[in-house]
Parts: sequence; C-alpha cells; structure tokens
Amino acid sequence: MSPRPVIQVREVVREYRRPRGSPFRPRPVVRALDGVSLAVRPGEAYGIVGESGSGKSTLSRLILGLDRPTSGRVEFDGRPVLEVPARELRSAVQPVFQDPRSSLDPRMRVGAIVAEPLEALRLPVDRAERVAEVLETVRLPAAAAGRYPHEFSGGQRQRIAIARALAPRPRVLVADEPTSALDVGVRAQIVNLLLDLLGRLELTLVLVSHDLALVRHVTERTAVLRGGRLVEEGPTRTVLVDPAEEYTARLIAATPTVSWGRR
Amino acid sequence: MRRTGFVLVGLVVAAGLLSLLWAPFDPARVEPGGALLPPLRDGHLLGTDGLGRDVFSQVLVGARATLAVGVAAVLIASVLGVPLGVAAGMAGGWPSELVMRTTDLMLAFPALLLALVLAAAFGASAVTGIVAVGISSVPVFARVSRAATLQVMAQEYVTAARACGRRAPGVAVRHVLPNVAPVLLVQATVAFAIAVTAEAALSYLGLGVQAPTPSWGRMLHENQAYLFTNPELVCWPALAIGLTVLGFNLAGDVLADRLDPARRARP
Repeated sequence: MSPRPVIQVREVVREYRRPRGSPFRPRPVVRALDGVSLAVRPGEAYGIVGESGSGKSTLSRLILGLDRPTSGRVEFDGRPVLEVPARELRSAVQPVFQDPRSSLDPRMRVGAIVAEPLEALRLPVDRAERVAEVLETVRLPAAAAGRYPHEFSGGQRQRIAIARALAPRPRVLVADEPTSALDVGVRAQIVNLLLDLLGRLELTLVLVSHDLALVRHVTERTAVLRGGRLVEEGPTRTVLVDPAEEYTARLIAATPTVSWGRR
Repeated sequence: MRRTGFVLVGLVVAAGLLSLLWAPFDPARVEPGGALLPPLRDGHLLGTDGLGRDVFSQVLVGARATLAVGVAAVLIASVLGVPLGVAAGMAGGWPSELVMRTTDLMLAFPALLLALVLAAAFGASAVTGIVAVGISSVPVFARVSRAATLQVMAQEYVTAARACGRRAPGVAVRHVLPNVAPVLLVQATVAFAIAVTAEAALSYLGLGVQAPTPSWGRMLHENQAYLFTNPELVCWPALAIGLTVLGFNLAGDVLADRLDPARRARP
C-alpha cells in the first residue's frame, strides 16, 4: 500500500469568534474549516485550492502547528502536531509565505534571517556555513548574507524566504500563495526553483493557492475547498482537468487562462 | 534644515556640559549693588537679574536641570511604559484591555495634579518633579508601543519566526523591539520636549528644582516681577525653553527617517 502519510488532517473543524456586534448578544461564530480530512504522502506535491475565504490559509496554519483546531486533529508522522516536540516539528515543517516584503524582517540582515530557524531551535550546525549552503541552493550569492532585504528584488526576496525555510533541513514545505505577490515574469523562476528543490531534496510540498494553473503544473494530488468544506480530493490530473464536482468545474471555468496560440 | 534639530539639542547639551567646567560667574552669587545690569555690562553677557545674579551663567547652568529632568522622566516613562505596551500588543485579549483601560485612567489624571500631590506628600524637589513628569508619560509610551507592536505582529515575519520555533520573548526581543524602536525614539524626543515644558511649569510654580540650583522655569518665576521694566530677563529663559523643545521635536523627525534601513538607503 501507499506509505504512511507525513501530514494527516482528520475531521478538522476550526471556528473563529467574531467581535461582538452588541454587548448583549453572544459573539458570532464563523466556521473557517468544517470537518476537513486529507492526507499528504511523503515526497509528493499536494495542492490545496479554493476561493478566498474557503479556509485554505487556516488549514495551512493548522498544518504548521501555528493554530489549534476546534475539533479533530492534524497529525505529523502519525502524531498530533501539537504534541510533537517543538524542535522536531519546527525544523521538519517550514512555511513559505505569500509576500516576501512582509515575511522578511526589514531590520535583520539576510544572514540573520536565514539563520533564524537554526538559532531559535539551537540546532547543532555551523550557522554561517549552513547559510552559505542554502543561499547557494536557492541560487543567491553568499555575499547576500551581509545585506538587508530591501536591497533585493521581489523574486530574490522570495528566494531568501525559501532559503530560510530550507535552513533546518525540513521534510515538508507549506507554501501559501508563494508566487501571487510576485511579478509575472518572476513567478516561473520561483516555481521552477520549488520544483527543482522537490526533486533534489526529497521534500514534500503542500501548495496552497487560488492559482489553478500553478497547482496543475506543480502538484500530483489536489484538494478543493469551498466554504471550509472539502469538495473534492484526488490526483491533480483528475480533479483539475476532469472534475467530478460541479463546483470544481465552475472554479476552473472562472479562471482566466492564458491561451498559447489561436483557438 | 535637517540639521537644525540636532544643532539645537547639541547646543543645550554643550551648555549643560560646559557649565560643569566653567561659567562666567557663580549663578547663585547675589550682588545687591549690581542688580538689573543691562547686557554686556561689567562682563555680564546677558546682564544681571533683580538680585544681581549673572543671567548668562544661570541660563548655562539651568540647562543641566532641564536635561536631567528630561532624561530621567523619559527613562522612567519608557522603562515602565514600553514593556507594558509591547506585552499588551503581543498578548491581545483581556491583558491588552486591562493595560489600555489603566492608561485611560492615568491619562485622565492631570500631570500637574500628580506633581502637586507628590510635592504635598514628599515635599517639593527635583525628584518629585521628575517622578511626576515620568509617571504621567507612561501611558503615552504604553499606548504608542502597543500600537506599533500590533503593526509588527501582523507582519508575516512574526509568523515565520513562530513557525521556526521562536517563542514570545524571542519574538519580542528579535523582531518587535527593533521594529518598534524608531517609533519609540521619536516618541522619546517628543516626551523629552514635553518634560522640558513640564519641568519649567513645575519650577515656575516652585514645585520643581529648588533654589539655589538655577532652572529656567524658576528664572521665569523670579523675573516676572520685572516683566514691564526689564522684559529681556524673562525672554532669555523662555527662549532657552522654546529652542530646546523645538530642537527635540525636529531631531525626532529626522531620527525617524534615519533609523529605517529602507529609507536610509535613499539619498
């Protein structure tokens, strides 16, 4: 059978309380995720797609262990995420964020940013050496370590963010819209870098995006979320090319596509 | 133009430092025979006051009291206010509400009243003045640092730091404080300017620095009797206070720009 999933989401519900509209009424509850289950196998690229508000970002926060589910649980390597020792989980599951302008501290030098996981987790490695190593992996010069994020372009900054994520040698990358804040011309570079890393470093990728073309290009399996519920899940080719659910079909139809040549 | 603030602040600091080593006359020496001399007479650069004391020396030495009160008050306010504000901003929820409502309460309490109460309880002195001005600036520091902290906490680099294993104290030291610092520095210069005016007001009322230590606020008070006959006597300390306040405000604006690495890059 297939290997044990590295990430397993079981019947997860996450509710948020909105601020009170009136002091005499209870705070309204919003259900961001409503009984979602899915499994990500080691080494695969797994896509999570949906409109804004579908709960995909909430799900990525839960997978990263940055938030607790209201009920149900997220497991890493067969154990609940919140029970995995921080040092192990934090080095094994790393995020890549949407906007590298916001995800890199403007007051830290690139070297310190990339070394942050190593330092925060007190990993026993030569930090300078590892920083140079991962900068090379994302094809940035080692000299970048001494400079500040604002000295780099959007694409280069996203490379820095990816280098930080790679520093503690993670097994899983959770990328939440990793290209949508970038210029169109740079997107392909970042996507190719991610694909290259997946192959070279045997990484598992959870790609959260509303960009169906990106997900189709990168992932092997995909889950479709709508209003916090799982609509459809399966091989990307089936789900995003020949969907079983009407919602997915509409989502695909609603996406503007670039046509290469005349129809 | 951008240097004006630093020049003014520099002048005040230089005056205070110089007065430790040298002043043309003992600012406290009373000479009934040489009272109300006009400027430049008998070596008195700015003349003498109603008791025959050298005005220039008083202004020079008075800078010390002003600087001491300003520094001490800002220190008290930031040491108490910044941790409160940062903690409130990071914790959110009821701790944040508690801090905010407490600062509301403190803001509603006039600084001058606090100074009067402290003076009544412990006797009027420079220390009660400093404590009063410092304490009454705490809520401003707490609020400003909370607001700035909220902004920083919304950034993805904080989430990134948490995702790679930083706990709250680490996030506070590594990310929140450095990013909040410029806002606080600007706040400190504004608070300093306010402390200077507050010190002058308290000394004017006789609640701050006590005689014979010269202070600009007390000079205003002592010289107001000659407002119509020798108006320049009031002008000198007033000018000193005004330029100091202006200097700190201008310097704060420039510092805010310089401390931002992204802005520093541009010419």
